[in-house]
Amino acid sequence: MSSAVAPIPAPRSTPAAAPRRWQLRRERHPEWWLWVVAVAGGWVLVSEFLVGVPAAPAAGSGHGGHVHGGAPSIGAPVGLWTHAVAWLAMIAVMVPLITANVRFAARRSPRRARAAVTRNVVAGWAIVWVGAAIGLGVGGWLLIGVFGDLLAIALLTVAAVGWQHAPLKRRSLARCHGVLAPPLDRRRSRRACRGYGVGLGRDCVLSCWPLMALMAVAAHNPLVVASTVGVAWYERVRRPHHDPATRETSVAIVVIGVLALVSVYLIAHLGNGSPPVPGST
Amino acid sequence: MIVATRRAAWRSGSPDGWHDDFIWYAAAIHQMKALTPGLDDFLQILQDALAGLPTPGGDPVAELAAIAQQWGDPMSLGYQSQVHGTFVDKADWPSHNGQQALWRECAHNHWFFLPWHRAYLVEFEEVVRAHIAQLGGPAEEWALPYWNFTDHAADSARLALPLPLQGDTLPAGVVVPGVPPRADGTFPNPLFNPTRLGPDPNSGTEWATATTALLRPHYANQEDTGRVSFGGGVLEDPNNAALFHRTSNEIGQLDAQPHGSTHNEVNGAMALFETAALDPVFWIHHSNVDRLWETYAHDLGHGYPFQAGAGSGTQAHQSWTTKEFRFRRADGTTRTWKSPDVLIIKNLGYEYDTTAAPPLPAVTPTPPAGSGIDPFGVAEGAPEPLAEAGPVSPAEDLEVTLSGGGDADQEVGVDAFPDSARWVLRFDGIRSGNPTRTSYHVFIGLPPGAEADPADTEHYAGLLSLFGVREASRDDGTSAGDGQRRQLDVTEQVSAQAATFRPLAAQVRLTATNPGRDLSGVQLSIERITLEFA
Repeated sequence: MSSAVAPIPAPRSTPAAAPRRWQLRRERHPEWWLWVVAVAGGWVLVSEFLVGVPAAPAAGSGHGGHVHGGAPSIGAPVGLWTHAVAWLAMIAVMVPLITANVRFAARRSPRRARAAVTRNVVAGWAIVWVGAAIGLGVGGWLLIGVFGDLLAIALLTVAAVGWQHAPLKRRSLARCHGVLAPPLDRRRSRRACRGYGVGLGRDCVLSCWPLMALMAVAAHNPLVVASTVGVAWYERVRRPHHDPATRETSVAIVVIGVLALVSVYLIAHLGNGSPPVPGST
Repeated sequence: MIVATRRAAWRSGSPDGWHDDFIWYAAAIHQMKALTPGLDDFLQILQDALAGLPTPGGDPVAELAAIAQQWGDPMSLGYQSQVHGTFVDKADWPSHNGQQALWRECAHNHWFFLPWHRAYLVEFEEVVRAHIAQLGGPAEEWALPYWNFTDHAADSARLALPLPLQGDTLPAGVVVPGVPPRADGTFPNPLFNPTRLGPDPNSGTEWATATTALLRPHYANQEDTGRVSFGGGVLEDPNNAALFHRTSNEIGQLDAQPHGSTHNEVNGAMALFETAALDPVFWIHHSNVDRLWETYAHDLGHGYPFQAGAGSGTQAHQSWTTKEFRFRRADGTTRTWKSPDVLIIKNLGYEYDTTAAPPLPAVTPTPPAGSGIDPFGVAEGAPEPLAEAGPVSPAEDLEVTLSGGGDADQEVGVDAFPDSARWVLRFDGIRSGNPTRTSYHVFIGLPPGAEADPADTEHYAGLLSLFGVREASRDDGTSAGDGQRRQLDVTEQVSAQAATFRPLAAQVRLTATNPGRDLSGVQLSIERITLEFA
């Protein structure tokens, strides 16, 4: 057989044993490990928030830094590494949004290829998000540098609400439901799955970029992240083509924005003993 | 409660077919059309667009939406049709009695297809009865007739539209209350729709055949098991509206054929979710589909999901019992149904004159392993794809070889697989650039050049029905744009060809059921065709 060979099943002389319950469950959910990744991401975010990083001067603003309740300010160069980890963790907690897509592609593939299919789709998706994270991270950093934490959060909240009403957002969200039945040929499958993952990542980024940026400028606050993932999840299980639910999600985003503002304000206040001046944190 | 009887459209008693139930149906439809502003313009634009002709504004979807957003009255045909599907954005849905319309609610491609449409018919029937009452007719005794096309073995005339739906003018002597004469003294037929293309007398009987569906051993398969069932795949999450409304993975056999294939066969307005229910044939077609569910549940002894107690407490059971179907009513209230509410039809105020099954094979196919243990296939794995072809773009006919493995594997026979293997022929990523105009006969293992005859049970795998494909192909924010999926159980065909069939080099042929229609502009494509076994 060539490397592209689909497996020849067991001949009748060796009938397959009845699968155990856990095997069936695992077969039904070849994407199970994505949930582990998401939980790990959540754990990282909470840990960073609780453990915290030292206060540092805010880049670009020229003003004294402050402690974000232990969470890193995106404007703090000393927290660059922490920010990178936090971004990866944020991407990780978004992974459950594509489990249905991954599951479909895997279950439309031969058993022995399902793990690779899952990896390839997720890899394509993650690559786009990592690239977007760099762009959004730098953008957020500049935004904070110019406007300060609070105004940056306010601006991104407005942008996120506005984006909910954009036709491109609606189309991207609808496309997030797209599925792929990969080719059986191993090489073609790899290419198709990565390409599909990239397309999925593109649509996810187009759909959710303001929310991700908001999470970042809110210093990856786990509460803000959890609420934002909740909004994204809600959008996915709604019918975007039937009911974009823009009113509901807009209200939710405003609430999240307020939550982010309050948390950043309070944390800064508690950390410095005095409230930050809006626009000059 | 009075229990009204839904009767066969093709029945004796009236030489012109205009039985009383059709007279009053037509009378009510006339009233409902009168409450639907711009309907004639809508149908003209639709007809032009379907024929590929330019429309006045150059954007038929926008033009149709602009008209449909006036249809806010639940007593109108326009409103009722848009419950099934609409081109109108939700922000533009009209209000009536202080409540915004509740449109685009239809359920296809999964196990809620049948209960949702049953509730839809009950709601529609009440509207029709209200109109009949206003006209002084026998509202309480009236029930929707059904188009008994699936009983074509008894009389092939039933493959044609029932007589009252044919022709734009009422026959002499037929009086429909409330319908005024035209200037020339003739009376328009409210049950006529000018956009229809069929049924085509040369397209065979398969589009109207329910045998394959009625022989399925399960009502539904567990979510994503990728098999073939009578009613469609389970949706475990009742709150996942995205899955509910378009993108689930397993269409029920009845949903595909004869339901979807009949939509395709009649075509015109019937070819699209957004316009199908504007054609009066839609309702009597679905009445028959609903009747076939009764046939399956009662006459064939399968019961309803969870009726026997199996599966209670599962996620599927939770979903089945809690998923709500909501309908806005003329008085501004909203009625909510759940699947268990619609299972006893006498409680809904109707029954059928007969639910007897059409002739079925004396020897029915062996149910798959596990059928007796779990009716929903929880204990079964997903089929394993072996051989593939694609992407392909069928027009009239298409012949492809599904291949898998290396050169040395091409001669592997069926005997290399377990005796209990079930075989599935799957079509993924079915897309079209325009509304589909035909279904396709599917043959497997047919040698190149051999005649393709649906009567050839050894090679004929079934019908590839395409209703809903266009809607799932739109990439404008109304769908994911990834098309639809279909699957056929070809276990019997593979077994019949066991001596010669080569699973890793399987011939598949598609032939259009309506080759006489212009299929060139449909732009149909299929991303992947696979032969799978489990």
